[in-house]
Amino acid sequence: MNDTPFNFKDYVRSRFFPHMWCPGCGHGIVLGSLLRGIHELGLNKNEIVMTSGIGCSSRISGYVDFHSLHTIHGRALSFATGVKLSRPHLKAIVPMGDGDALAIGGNHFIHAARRNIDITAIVMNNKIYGMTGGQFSPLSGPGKKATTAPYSTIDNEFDIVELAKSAGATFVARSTVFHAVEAKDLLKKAIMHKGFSVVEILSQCPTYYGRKNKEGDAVQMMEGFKNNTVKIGSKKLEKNPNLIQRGIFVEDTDKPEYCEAYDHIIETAMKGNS
Amino acid sequence: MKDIDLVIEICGSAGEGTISAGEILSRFMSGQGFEIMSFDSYPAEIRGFGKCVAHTRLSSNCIYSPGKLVDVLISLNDGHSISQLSTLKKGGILVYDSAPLKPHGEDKSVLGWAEPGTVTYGVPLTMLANRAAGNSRGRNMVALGAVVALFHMDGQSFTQSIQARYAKKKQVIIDANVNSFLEGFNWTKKHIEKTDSISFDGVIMPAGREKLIINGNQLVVRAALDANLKFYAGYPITPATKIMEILSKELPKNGGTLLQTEDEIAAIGAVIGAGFGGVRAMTATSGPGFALMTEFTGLSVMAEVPAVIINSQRGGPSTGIPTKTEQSDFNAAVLGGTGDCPRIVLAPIDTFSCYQATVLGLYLAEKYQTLVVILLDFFLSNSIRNIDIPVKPSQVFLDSNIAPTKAELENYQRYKVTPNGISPRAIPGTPGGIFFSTGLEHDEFGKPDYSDKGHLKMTQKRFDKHSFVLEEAPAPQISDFTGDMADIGVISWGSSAGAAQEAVMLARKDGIDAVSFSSMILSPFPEKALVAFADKCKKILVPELNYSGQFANFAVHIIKRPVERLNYITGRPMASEDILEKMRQM
Ligand SMILES: Cc1ncc(C[n+]2csc(CCOP(=O)(O)OP(=O)(O)O)c2C)c(N)n1
Ligand code: SF4
Ligand SMILES: [Mg+2]
Repeated sequence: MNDTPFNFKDYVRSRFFPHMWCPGCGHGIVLGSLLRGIHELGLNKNEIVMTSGIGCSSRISGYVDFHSLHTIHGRALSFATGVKLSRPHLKAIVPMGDGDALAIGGNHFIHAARRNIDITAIVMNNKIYGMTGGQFSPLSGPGKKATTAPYSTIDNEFDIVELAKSAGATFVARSTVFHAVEAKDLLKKAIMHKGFSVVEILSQCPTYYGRKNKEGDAVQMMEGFKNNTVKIGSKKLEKNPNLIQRGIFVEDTDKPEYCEAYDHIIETAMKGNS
Repeated sequence: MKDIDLVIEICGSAGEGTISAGEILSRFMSGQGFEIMSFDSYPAEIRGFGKCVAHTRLSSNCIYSPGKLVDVLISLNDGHSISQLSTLKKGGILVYDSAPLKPHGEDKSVLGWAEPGTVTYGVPLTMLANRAAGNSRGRNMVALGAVVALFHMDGQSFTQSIQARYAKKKQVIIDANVNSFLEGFNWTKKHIEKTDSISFDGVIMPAGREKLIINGNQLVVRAALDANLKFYAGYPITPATKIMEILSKELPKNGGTLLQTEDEIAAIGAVIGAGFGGVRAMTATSGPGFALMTEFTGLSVMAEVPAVIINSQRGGPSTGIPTKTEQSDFNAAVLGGTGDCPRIVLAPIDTFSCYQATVLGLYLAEKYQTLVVILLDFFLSNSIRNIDIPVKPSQVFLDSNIAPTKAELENYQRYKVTPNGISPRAIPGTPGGIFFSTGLEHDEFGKPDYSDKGHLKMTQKRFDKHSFVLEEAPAPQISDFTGDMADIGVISWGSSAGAAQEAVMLARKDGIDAVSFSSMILSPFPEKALVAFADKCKKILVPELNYSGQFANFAVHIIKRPVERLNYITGRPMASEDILEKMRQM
């Protein structure tokens, strides 16, 4: 733990600013929660590797002052898997967009979860492709408007929590950018969890999703996160089962972590050698 | 008659109406019978407040390139326009806000940075806009009013252009824009003493045919719909996304289907699937997506299933520079992939030929049962021209599948070796037309066959088809020779071709004996025509927008002699001025 006051500037590369996010974008709040969490954990910046794909969300890796690589769209987890297996003592954090994680990167996502490799995946879910100007994503859900769905979407959405659970992730949580402190606490737990951890953070894209779907400005969208979500198991669900639940859905410390399991393979193999 | 050939740039911040002012100006000019070519640049990603430039070339003659240097710079924003001054011609004209909201010192004002000799006209844009509409939003219209007054353009018709642009808006908005324009127009007439020589007085353009104001992406869509496209699958990626966005609206209207897939691998997979199903199908992408499609492109060629891929090139490699133009996917398109993999590659040489290439591409893919790659680039995708309305393709171009006859369906050989390499293709559902297709090497029935003879025979068959393709593609554009030999031959492709052709015309006026060669089809390449051309040129120059001279290397291999090269990767389109300069040095 770390009791010193948090100073944002200690954790960012100031020469990479100004950031590219639109006014009101939710992604900056995720960055804030993440850095505060890392500060509170007292992690050394040198122990952290952050890799990301392509998207507005993925730009986070450029702003933080950790070892980082901005890779290609959807593939950050495969890159992080290589980093982790070559340097298992480093913390691997992968911020992702909903399209990045679950459209083009869906395959890597389920396989990283299945392996239970010690990586923290943060899915910044704004239900849209922000970077390319507002096309629908696999998280948009049916009945939404997007630039590629002028007559509204017919595609069903994934439930990230359920998907991560069934694919084998051993830590699965959800929060929103309205609940920035809760998000910070969940991120801290996820980073310290040994195994594949997924934190979905609902974030707003007022520029495209908000405008296209008449959800108002950033403030109104954040109020939506407040009004449409509840803590896991809340009483309010009885009245309105459509409320989205926040909190920790899975925390399993029994399943072997992949790098550690591989250490046993090496041990066994080396025994055979001698 | 007096000729007009002007490059005008409007430079401002996102949200200042820069792009819409440029659009109104070019629509007006097109309506007046001029040729236009315009190209906007936006901030790559700093959203909300970055620099925007609306660049327009207008001419009473044919336009081949956007023009590198600017005659008139209209500044809506001092900060951004300072860096834009470097493209202003010596003695060019600067129109700026003489009374901006926040007064600034000379070092911060665009006027302070203008080269000596620049003709400068200060107009109180903000003040006049406020006077016209009570807020400063109409500064862009005030600036247009000033320009129309300065150059003696038709103010009456211009007002109509503004009304047309905002026709769907509320009356107050239309009035605000028109009044701002008039304030600028009248103020300039009254207060500005003209010291430049640009004037539209006495320039009378013949009433032209109705024109289509359109960019390459929009034209690809129009062509695809005209050519019976029934299926599109894709994944968003700049600069190709617009094609999918427009088609998502238009394709269902024509009974077609658009699928947004989870990535580009799935997109090309679905396209080949739909092609197998017998409908015309395509996808559009850019470098990273094109790279992902590679394995499936091999299947299209091997299993002989039609597929069309539009690749709008960006700066590369990897994610590269999404919003800049480059011609660096020549190798990937023409030579990329694994195995001996013949494919058709077309590269439109201007906006209009985006239409031709798309129609031809869909036709050739279906007829020759193969992969067609159409190479656009950021510039072709986004630059706007006014063109004659394209003539719709005739019936021959709409249905080109060669189906098996009754006799051929007896003991049907899907991959039968025929004189032109095309094996009659049954569409699934055809009685008697059941067959097996595979990405494994196969015999004429489609049965996997790894024998050396079989592999050679089928590889040959797949290549042989291509000699017939060349006969159906437009012949290369070759300019007239003045004698038996020319001093310089310029060979070009894609969006650089216009600049190359223009440079050759300028060079000739300058007394340089130059000729040009450009081909829309890159694979198979019209090698004989190129060799014949090169044989008649003392020196050869290949200008292109990549670093390593990908096409030049390809050409050298065909003509078997060294060439001069002009390469740059500034993200800007090829400039005829630079080619001309290079020719002078040769
Ligand atoms: C192979 C490939 N295909 C497409 C793209 C274009 N592209 C960049 S980011 C992006 C989607 C971004 O959406 P998301 O992951 O949800 O992130 P957001 O911008 O919404 O934060 C796309 C389609 C690309 N860079 N590479
Ligand atoms: S486009 Fe959307 S996701 Fe991207 S920075 Fe803007 S608000 Fe954020
Ligand atoms: Mg998103």
